[in-house]
Amino acid sequence: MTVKILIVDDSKTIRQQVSFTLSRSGYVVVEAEDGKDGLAKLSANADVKLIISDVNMPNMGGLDMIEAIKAGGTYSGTIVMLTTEGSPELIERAKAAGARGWLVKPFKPEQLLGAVSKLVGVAGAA
Amino acid sequence: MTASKKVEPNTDALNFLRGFLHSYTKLIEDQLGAVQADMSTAMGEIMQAIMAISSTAEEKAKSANVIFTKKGSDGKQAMVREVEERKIPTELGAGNSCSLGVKRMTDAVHSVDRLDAAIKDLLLSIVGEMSVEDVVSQRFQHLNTALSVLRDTVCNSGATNTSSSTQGEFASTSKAALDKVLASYTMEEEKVCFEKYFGKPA
Repeated sequence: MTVKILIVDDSKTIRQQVSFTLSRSGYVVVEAEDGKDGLAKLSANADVKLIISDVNMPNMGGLDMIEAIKAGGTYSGTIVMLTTEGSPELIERAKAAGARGWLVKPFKPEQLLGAVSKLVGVAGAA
Repeated sequence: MTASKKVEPNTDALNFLRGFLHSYTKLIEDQLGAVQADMSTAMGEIMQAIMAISSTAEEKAKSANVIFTKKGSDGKQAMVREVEERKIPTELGAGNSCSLGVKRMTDAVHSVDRLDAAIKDLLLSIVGEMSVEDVVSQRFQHLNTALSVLRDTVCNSGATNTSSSTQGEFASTSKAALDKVLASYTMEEEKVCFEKYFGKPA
């Protein structure tokens, strides 16, 4: 069984970096370039176990996206934010919308992998 | 007795200054934008190269391992058969010398496999360091926002365009500009730097 992860970030380089880091450990990674795209990709990939999302993005930001996901009421996976933001208000808003973690960029691959492993409870591929 | 004479502002000079600031801030914005674009392009290309190196290392390791796995579960036995069937020349010919040749080849294959893991570890650490690109890119954007706010404030706002503006009006205009700049910041480091010059926002 493989664990599928959705990375939502408007920076292509960040998406590639997260994807590279996670796929090396056996995770299957789906990429989305903003909140709207994130919702579409989530809808097409119902087996996504973890969403890693940026906060500030064009079209739809990460917090609006996770609030929309919460409002939808069907997603049971985990959400974590990966951002340069450190504002306590935004962190509270994210928590209220169901985010379980807040990772600050620039990220260290081992920290990302550690957090992901802890949040999804398993390694990438069983 | 001489009456005090009100000094009229030199509107030509003010207009010149506004025009100068407009072009000057635009110039810096353009230059910053170009640096940001260059950096993003370079990072994108480095990332592509990293992925290509990683794929190549993985393919080479897989190719090396095929020789172990395709003819049986015992890697060494499979290698012996491979050497015999394909008449791969070994260092000393046949018999025991074949085992020596196989051992050396086995070691070489293991080295390739270990090299693949080592390369990927190195690439992973490079990729981690590269994630700073997104942070730097955002800081460039925030600098551009600050310049654009400065231009709007000095060149377009009512308070700074009227010679009779009061200090209160200037203060209010400045505060509005600073609020916009502060709101654009996402990193704590940026906010701390802001506070160093303008204090904590009320």
